[in-house]
Amino acid sequence: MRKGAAVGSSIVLIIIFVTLLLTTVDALGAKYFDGDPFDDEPLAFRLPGFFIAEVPGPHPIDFLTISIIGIILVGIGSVILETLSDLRLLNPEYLELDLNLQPGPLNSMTIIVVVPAHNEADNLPVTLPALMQQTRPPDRIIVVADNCTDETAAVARSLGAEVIETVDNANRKAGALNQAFSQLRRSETSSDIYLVLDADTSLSPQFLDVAEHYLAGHDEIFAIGGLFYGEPGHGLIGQLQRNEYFRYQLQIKHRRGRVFVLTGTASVFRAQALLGVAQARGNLIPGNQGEVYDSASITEDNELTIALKSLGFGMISLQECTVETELMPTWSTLWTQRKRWQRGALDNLAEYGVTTATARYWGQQLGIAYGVVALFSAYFFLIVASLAMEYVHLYIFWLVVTTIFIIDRVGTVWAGGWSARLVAAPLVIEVAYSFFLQINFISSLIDLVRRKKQKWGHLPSPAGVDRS
Amino acid sequence: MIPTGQQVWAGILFEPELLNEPWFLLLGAFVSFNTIVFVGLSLGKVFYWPKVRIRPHPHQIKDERAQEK
Repeated sequence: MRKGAAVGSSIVLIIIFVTLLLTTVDALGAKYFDGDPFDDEPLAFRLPGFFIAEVPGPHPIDFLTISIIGIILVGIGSVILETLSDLRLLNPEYLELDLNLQPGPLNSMTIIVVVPAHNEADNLPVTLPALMQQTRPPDRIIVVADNCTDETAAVARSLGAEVIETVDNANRKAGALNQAFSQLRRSETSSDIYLVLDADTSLSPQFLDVAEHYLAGHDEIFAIGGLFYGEPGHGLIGQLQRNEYFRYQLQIKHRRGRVFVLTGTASVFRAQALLGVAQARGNLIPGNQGEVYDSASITEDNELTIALKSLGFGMISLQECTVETELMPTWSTLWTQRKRWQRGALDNLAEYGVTTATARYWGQQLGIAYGVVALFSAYFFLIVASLAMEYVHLYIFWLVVTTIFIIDRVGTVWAGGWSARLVAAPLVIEVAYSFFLQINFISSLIDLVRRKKQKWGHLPSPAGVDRS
Repeated sequence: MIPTGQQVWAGILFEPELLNEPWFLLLGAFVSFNTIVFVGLSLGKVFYWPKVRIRPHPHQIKDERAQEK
């Protein structure tokens, strides 16, 4: 953000803050310097045109207690679900997999980057040289040219990458990666690690270095998920998505790297973990025997995460391993993307059922459903109340609650700069965004019940080529 | 006593008595409960999870046990 804009934003925020502060001080002063601060007289905020009073209503302490009990119960529930997910019990079935889980020493690791590419001739000249600029450059780069009608394969070869061209692939990205991994597995060793990277994605410069060192020091970790930031631009809709991603990163940081999803844009896997998944498919987990990705899933990265967790493979997201990802530029493309994510997540859960690995994800879906009920009942309550009340009632207690909300929303995107904070501060903008996402969730549920097929969604690149 | 002031929003669509009906009070309590729970959970996310070492894969545990024997 330009310096001038930042100063302007600061001034607006300061004016809002000072106005709120003065109004509150005025009202409190009128009450507490009136003689008896503990009387039943209401706080009176006299603003031009209307009158706001803080009336002595029902004591909030009772439902505050009940709510705190609710918070504790939800918290305990989350911890139980998370612990279940962490507990990888010694399941004899896993032990039947033919794996060599002894990684080699640090200096013998081979990093292979696999880039699924569908008409990415315009993006590869940026992505591939950037990979070679990593502080620890990859040993091999393999571009999987999938159903391309442009010069993807030729461009990749000219940039020094190996190329695998898919044959009769009808299963999108998952199918392309499956074809690539079916050819690669024969030659891999226990210390091969793979980075699956989208062709339009850029990594933090030390991504591979950090990942390699972490894996070398942590035998129990088999996958590292990239933490995604949103690309700049796209106005308000872009900022709303960036705020969402900022909060996700913060959440993962506070969860000490516990992953929800190994993002399909950039994640690292030990070869043996992918081999384990391929062996287990069609037997212990859904999918076709011998395939790394479940081509039936429309969110193949979410599915692979659940597959790895189901087979007992440990994973983490590291704060240093960040990735800048594309944002949806319009409400319509965002709607389609989120429908795919939401529907894909629900489909995957339906496929796996309730297990120790999926319990946390079921909890997450229940949380979203509860959020829908809570937000919609709040909308209804506020609309009916505002159409029925005689004057605006303002409770100090709820002012405090709202202030905490504002501090939370602004604080969690503070790192995103003033544009992020300004979008978060008024609350209503992000509440409207939540409304959009929750309608999307309801729509996905309805589609699931009606068994409607979900579109994959297309996002043309700036050059006009297909980037699905 | 509540001062009346200038009643700008005085029952635009519904009677003010609606606000005291049991179903509406119950709805208000539900919304209040949800709001506090959401604030509490948001604040809860500020805290770090305890450091827990991720368990090795069952295969690795088996290998370790085999080596111990």
